[in-house]
Amino acid sequence: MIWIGLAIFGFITLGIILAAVGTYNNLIALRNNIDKAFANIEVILKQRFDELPKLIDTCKGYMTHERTLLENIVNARTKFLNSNSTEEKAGAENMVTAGLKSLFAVAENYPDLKANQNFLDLQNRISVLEESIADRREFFNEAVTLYNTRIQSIPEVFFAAILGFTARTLLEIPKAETQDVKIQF
Amino acid sequence: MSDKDPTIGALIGLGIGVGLFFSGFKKWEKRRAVSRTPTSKIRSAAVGLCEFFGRAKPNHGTILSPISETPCLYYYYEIEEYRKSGKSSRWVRIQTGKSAEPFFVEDQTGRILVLPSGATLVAHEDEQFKLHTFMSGDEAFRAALYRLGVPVLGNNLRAHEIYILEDDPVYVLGDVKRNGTGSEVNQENLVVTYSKDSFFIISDRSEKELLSHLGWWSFLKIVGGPILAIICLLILLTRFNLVDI
Repeated sequence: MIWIGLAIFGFITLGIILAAVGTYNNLIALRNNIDKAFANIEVILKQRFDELPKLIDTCKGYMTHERTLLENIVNARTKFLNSNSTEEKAGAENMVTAGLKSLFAVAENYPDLKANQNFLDLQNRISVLEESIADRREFFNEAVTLYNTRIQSIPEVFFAAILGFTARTLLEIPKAETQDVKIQF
Repeated sequence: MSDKDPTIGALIGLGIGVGLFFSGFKKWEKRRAVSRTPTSKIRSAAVGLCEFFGRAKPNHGTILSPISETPCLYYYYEIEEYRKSGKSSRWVRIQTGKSAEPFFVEDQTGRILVLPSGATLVAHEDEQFKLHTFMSGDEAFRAALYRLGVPVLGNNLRAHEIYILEDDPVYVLGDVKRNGTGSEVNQENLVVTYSKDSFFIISDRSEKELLSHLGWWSFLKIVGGPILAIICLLILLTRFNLVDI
């Protein structure tokens, strides 16, 4: 019977090793998913930032009384480009998004600007990019949630504690960005 | 060795048991990939492993499934023959096939082209056919077998067919790549395709059903494989008088 005992022991040992390796690899893949998801947001942000100088150039000829608003967008863009950490980038990105939201709302007061085809094209292009940013932000948050849930579940919680897998932060949308922009006529 | 000698059968069973054990872990890995990949909206899909859920839409019209001739967007079929060997008999797979015609997956945000070559299909069986010797059988099935070059005379045959119809719900996990040049934002330039370093699954099930299906199969293989292997080992040891029961 010793052969049978050895076979059972062998299968159990091999099973535990394969399960442990699989669990570790899964945690690594989950963590990499988050990094990839954030990098994918940055790709779209970069595309949006490339459109901003063109938008500012188009607007500044018409929106002479909105100098501060335009400067805020430019400053937020510069801040993003100079940021290194995810939190700093997220903060600067939120400032740009809020600035653009205000800009497009205020543009309603400038009929000549609203009639400018170049402005309309840029507005349309930026709106498409905004949708993609929102989608990818949602995707990022789902990736973070999957990872955070996994590292708090059994048996991953033991691996996470030993190997230093810590919880990651969701990308929050600031309260100001969820509120409607006041338009003054 | 006589007909009753279990040695060869036990050796085969031992190999199958060990194989099932390892393939169970592979299936479990597939389940993990499904569970850890967030579902992407097609409008904002990025290059790399992605998961989509939407409705199947044609690329250039529908195709006909080879056996039931159902207009569909994707199909898989297998034909089995009933074979006897000594006192034992079993169904042996003699032909399989799947379509390679691209189709779209469409969600509320857009559509993306799926190039299904190399995909693993996990789907509910749609059609089952049987043809018995000396029976009239299903004439449509007989005609399909002729078309597929399967000899019919003297054989008990059966076939299974799975297809994805237009507008069927479809789950896809696969590698997203650029199809030519263009902006990454525009999903028309992206395709879901096979990659040897990644997973490629097409299913007509929801993600929850798929996880349950893959979980059960992997569990059965991981547990059932060793049980089969140990029983076969016991038979072999008994056969060579290395153990008394």
